[in-house]
Amino acid sequence: MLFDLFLLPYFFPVFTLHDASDAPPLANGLVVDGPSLSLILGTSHEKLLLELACSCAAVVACRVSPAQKQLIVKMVKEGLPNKPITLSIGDGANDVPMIQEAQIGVGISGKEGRQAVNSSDFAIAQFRFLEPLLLVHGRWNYRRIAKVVLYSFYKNIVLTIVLLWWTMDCGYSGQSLYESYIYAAYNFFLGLPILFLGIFDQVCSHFLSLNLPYSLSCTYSFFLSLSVEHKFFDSIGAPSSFTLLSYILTFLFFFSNVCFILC
Amino acid sequence: MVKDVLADTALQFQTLYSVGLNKTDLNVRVMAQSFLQACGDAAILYYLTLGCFNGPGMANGGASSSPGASSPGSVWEGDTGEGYGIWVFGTAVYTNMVTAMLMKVALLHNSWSTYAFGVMAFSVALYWGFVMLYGSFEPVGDGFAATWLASYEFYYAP
Repeated sequence: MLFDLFLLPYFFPVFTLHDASDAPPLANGLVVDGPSLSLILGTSHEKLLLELACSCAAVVACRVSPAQKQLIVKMVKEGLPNKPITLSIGDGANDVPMIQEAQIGVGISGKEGRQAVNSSDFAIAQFRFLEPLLLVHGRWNYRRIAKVVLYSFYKNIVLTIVLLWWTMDCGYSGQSLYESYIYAAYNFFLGLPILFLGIFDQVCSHFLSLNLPYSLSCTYSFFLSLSVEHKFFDSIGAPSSFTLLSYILTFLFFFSNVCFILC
Repeated sequence: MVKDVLADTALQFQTLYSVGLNKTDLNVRVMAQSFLQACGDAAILYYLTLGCFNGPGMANGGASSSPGASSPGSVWEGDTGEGYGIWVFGTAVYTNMVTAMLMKVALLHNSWSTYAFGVMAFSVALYWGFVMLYGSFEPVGDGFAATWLASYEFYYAP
């Protein structure tokens, strides 16, 4: 909290925010019904429908069959050049095909049974929960997963590459560098911290988050921008500090009687 | 439960969602960068420890002495190519590696909770406790009647 309070007045001027209002508004809407879709889907007119739909703020498909719902999702998923990630949300059994067709299927548990929920990736109780599911929890989880995945690969690559250097040093003789149990316990020693980081970590405090929301293109605090967004500590600071600590500790222990004194 | 911004903030400024849409945190470039960094860090950790371990010992032909003494020994004893204290050296590398990885996790943290502190402390205690205990005792004898004696030299490595 103190950290945030101190930085707030100094770095507020460089803060820039990109709101959704930056995007040009789309004034058009499109309504298409089932009988029309039966003439369009599966023909050359499909591409024209897609182009028309892309120029609209919203497209409403009414009186459509479950199969047509699925085909609409498939048309969007495969027809656009940028390969968008699609999400389908529904509460009834007739929504099941489109929920399964989309990359992300969301089922609403309600009066129409639980078929949609059972075939979905995520289940919510009310439609209004979709917004926090996407914009809040989806975003949080993406960043958590990214950190955990990158770190998990990183630490195991370090373990392996050290062995590569060692192998080259001993003429590819196959000599083991580590005692076998210590070697095997590597992920026991290092597994829990990253797991709990993936559960409990927060980039900014409550105060800073409420008062200085940011996007990727903004820098709202010096240290956070260095450590989180620009990966400064990841690329330069961390290896340097590792190096310094390793050198000092190893030198201390091998060039003195410290360990004997301690023991 | 990582929260880089609060729920209200994410809802209010929906462009924050572009982090996932643009795949900024996890993509091929970021992963390749991470892999390269891991290779570099591994080299630093290994050769730094090797340099410390050999140290002035190389000046007199790598003549060995007991680890922890004022003049350290060489991984390779003299010119014979025989290994000396390999597990001492290996465990020293390993200790540096575990320390570096824990530091990396510490840097990845954007906020510290009681759980995060507790788990970090637990991991440090787990490693040091394990190496100290495991390196201190060796079963001598058969089966359950084994006598445990302090013998492994890598006890001195961490």
